[in-house]
Amino acid sequence: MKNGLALFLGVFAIIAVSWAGVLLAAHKQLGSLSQFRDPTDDTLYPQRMSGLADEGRMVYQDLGCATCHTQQVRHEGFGADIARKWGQRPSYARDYIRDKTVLIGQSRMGPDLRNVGVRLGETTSADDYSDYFYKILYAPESVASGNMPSYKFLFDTHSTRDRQPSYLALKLTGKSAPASGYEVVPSYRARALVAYLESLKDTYDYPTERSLNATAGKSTEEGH
Amino acid sequence: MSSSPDNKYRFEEAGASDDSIQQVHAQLRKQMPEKAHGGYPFLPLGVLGMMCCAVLFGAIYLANYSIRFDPLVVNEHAKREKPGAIVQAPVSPVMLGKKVFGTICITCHQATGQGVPGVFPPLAGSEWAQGDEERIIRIVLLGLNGPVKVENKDFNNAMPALGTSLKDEQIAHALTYVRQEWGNKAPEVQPEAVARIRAELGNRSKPFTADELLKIGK
Repeated sequence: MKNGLALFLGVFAIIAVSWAGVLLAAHKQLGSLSQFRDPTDDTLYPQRMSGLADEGRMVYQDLGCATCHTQQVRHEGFGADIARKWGQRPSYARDYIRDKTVLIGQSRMGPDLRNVGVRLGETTSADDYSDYFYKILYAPESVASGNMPSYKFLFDTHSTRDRQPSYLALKLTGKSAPASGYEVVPSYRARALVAYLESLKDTYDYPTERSLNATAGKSTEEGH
Repeated sequence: MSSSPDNKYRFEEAGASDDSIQQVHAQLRKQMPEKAHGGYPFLPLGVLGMMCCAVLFGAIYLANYSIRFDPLVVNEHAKREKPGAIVQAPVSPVMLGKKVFGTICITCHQATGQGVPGVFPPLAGSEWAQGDEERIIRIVLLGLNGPVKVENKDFNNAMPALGTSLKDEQIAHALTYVRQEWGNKAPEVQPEAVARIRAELGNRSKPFTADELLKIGK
């Protein structure tokens, strides 16, 4: 081959430059991000997920929820995410450091889920949240309108004859309710997934990000 | 390449040899006109122009939207500090106090600071919240029991003591937030003041009453 060396060097240079640009530069930019220590309560944010929620993250990944749901609140001036109450603040890179795989999604067939753990309001009890999530997974039409498919296979329907009813049994009414004498109980995967969904809440606003992302017209004190 | 006696009709032999083909090509090449710039003078100039446009676009895009590759920035319209200027993270007591308020006080006094009419007194516009810090620090530390008049409305309830679960700084920040939010205008509460009053109260654990507090401070 006449120009073998030039060809080799050219291909090598192209691959090396893209590797450096895509991996090295990104790692230099984001690799050193760590949890932020809040000066008042000495707590590290973002807080780590519980073990069950971390398993739920894998269920989320496994079921392909990221196909239809994103997990990123865009900042003001770039979409209406904050006006839609999908979050109180934009998502920052630091929010994602707890995720082994960042499930940011790519299209919004359904709503953004980054703050779904506080969507019903911060004062809603954990039980109400679980109930809501189980219902939207088992029979989406019972709590929401839209194209969300049912994930009935995450639940077991079994007879209550000769056994104590499960404390986790879904309180379903109307069309989605099981036949009498039966109950619908979430499986371990459903419980893990719901624990993960409940853990999705970016309620803490990092002071550093907050001041660096303030637009020129606003002072950093505004908006709280 | 003439016919040989063994192969009179040149069966399975090429019609032309390498030499004869080269001769024919050489003659044809001589007849073609010479081209001054190698054939396609317009194309390299067009490609060059397109490349320049692409580079210009890229440079403008990077200058506007690169956010200087800062990992903490997502908003490309954010106010920019001069490169090299050290950005001190401004952590104001109000911001910190909002967090304390949001986890504890909000349950009764609500996010709007309006309280619940007849049950929990309002903080927004309240003369207590904006009044002497001596009183409100004591309320937060040990709680408040019994009747109290706020904004000319009577309340009779019990506020729990938060002195054991909150640190001096947290109490000071939360009170500062309450005193400067919802249109309230009162000076900051310093953690030292909380520490001083906490020390003054000593071992007392009985909640205050409104009458008792009105004798303290101005």
